[in-house]
Amino acid sequence: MKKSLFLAISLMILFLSPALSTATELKLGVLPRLTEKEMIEGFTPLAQYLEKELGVKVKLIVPKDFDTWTKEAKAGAYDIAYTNPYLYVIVKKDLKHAQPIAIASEPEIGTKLYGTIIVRKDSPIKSIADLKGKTIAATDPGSAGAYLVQMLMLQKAKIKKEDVKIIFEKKRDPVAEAVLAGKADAGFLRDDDVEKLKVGGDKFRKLGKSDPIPNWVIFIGKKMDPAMATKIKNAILKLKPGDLQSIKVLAPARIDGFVPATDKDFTIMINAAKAAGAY
Amino acid sequence: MKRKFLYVMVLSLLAIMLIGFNIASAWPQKDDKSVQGGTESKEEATLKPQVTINIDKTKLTNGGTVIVTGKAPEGKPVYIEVWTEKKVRAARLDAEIDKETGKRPYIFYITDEMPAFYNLLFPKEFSDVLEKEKKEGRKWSVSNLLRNTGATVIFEAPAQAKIDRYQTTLWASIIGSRGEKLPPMDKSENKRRAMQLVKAKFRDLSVVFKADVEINPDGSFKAPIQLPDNAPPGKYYVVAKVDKDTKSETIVFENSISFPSVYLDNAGRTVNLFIPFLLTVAVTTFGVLMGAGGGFILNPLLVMLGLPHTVVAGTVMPTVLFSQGSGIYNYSRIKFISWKLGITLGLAMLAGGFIGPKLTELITLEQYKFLFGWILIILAALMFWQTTPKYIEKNKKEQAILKEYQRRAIEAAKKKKEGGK
Repeated sequence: MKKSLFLAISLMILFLSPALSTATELKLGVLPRLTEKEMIEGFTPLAQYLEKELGVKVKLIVPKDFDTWTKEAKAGAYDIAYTNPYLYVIVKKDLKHAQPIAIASEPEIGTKLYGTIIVRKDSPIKSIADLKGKTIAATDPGSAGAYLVQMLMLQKAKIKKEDVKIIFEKKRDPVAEAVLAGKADAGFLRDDDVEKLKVGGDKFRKLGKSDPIPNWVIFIGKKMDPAMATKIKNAILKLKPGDLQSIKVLAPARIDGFVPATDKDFTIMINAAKAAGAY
Repeated sequence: MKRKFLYVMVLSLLAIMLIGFNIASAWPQKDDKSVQGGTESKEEATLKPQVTINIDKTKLTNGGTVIVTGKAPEGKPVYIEVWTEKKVRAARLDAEIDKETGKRPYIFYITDEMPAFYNLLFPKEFSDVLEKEKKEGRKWSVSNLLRNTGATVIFEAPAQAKIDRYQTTLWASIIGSRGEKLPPMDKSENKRRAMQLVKAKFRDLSVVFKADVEINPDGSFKAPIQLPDNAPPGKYYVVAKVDKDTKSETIVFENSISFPSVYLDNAGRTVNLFIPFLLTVAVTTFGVLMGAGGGFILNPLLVMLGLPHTVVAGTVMPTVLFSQGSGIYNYSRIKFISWKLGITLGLAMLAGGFIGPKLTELITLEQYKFLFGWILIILAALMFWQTTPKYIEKNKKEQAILKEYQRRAIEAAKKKKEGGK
């Protein structure tokens, strides 16, 4: 009896050892939306928190750019990854086992983003339908809140991608300046960015506001021991928005907590990417 | 009978459970959002419980400590914002290289609506963040500090100040202008600039920001508000905040001051007049001895007392009139004044006096001290050089003239005295 019990335990340890060995170090790969220094300063407390909660070393990885992050995330290089909702759906397309854990909450905007379409106050364009054949300024082809979701708004108004001319201006202020200067008839911006415009948000009229899209997402990007995946999920979800502990860990990363996420939350993002021909 | 009683008990229990369940499901649950999954709406904030706040006293004299207590939702951070009704000027010249354009913007930001006293108290848990920012030295940043403590949305009172901005140039300063006034800023840019003006006005991080709020696991909190003896008189407003939507009502306490303490409007602080009075008597005696009004010596001493350099520079100017008035009278009596030289120098001073104030407004305290220090060092070196035997030998002629002047002055005074008899 004792012998068989010993054998069973030994076999169990042997069987679990590959899974346990993978848990000696976890890689946290964050999309570099700020400078490397800012990203390291911002996300080191989160890596340290996870290390403490999970009992394994968590290595923070800040790739040099979005392309590198996407390539590495698709290759399953990150155990835990943090990215924008668009790149999440793009990565998820190739990495079927990726599981979203949580959506980030920001102090000013919460867990949802909205996109908007702006025109000059004196513009003859009155509705989204009037944008057919017009030139529109947007920030970047990969921007969820300042390009993709607006393409879905156009699609809903029966305007195809080919019906408009899109010019990319990289950042929000050049988009507004292009609209103001007449270089573009309309502009795609994140709704909360309009009041932050250097040229003044009061110079524009909004044609509409998009449906909400989820804020940035943290997900498990590698096949791992389910017990460890649960541990990671629980540790992340302990950081509820606005809690003292969450702020202590997340404030340097400009977020104040996480709320649970499922793949269903990203359906709008997939639809928006499809509307832009980017999925 | 027993069975009936048992039925009644079971039914009653079921009824209680059912009512309890209904009440519980109708009541907004604190963690509803975390179990439902998906995204959270900020509109839910209206359902959040509010914060209560109390203070142990409502009146202070020449500063002191007020203890704030209250209750906030469990597990949440509590920040306390304190500001006075008194407003003061704050200004800053943005001459740092813009990362995007690579150029220095030379934009001058100014407000007359900065609270003369402002404190933002963080939970004690953030004391390490404060210490880290202090280590940045003069490079500490309000926006970094607020972001790393989650207090960006809490910072409100100074952000209400209307800030004007001017595209300035050195030439504009010379002709007595701040430059071309730029269009007003939007709310978020105004807030960003208000953070910089808080630093420009209060300079020292620990004067404004303190990690003094002690929060208990049940959400009750306690914090001291310390008003220094140089704090302005009048009403002080206190609000405890958890986030931008969850905050207490505003409560008020009052600070009064008594003579010889007086409140200086343009400095935004209270000063005990006794110390500057004694200091000025001593300084002027020596200042006039050196042919100055004493301003040069008085200036750094008053800055050391904590007064803003702009106000010191401005205030010392007219006060020098008094020492110079009495000095001119006595020097003219002993015939030590050369009016030709004096008027020529006076005209040059008129021009310099016109340019100087605008430049003072544009420079920081550090630049002011640097400039002032070097001028004093150069003057000291010059005066020291003039006392060396080599110099004295070279300037015997000058010495002879001086002696002649002294001789004539003494003679004139003697004659006047004799004539008077």
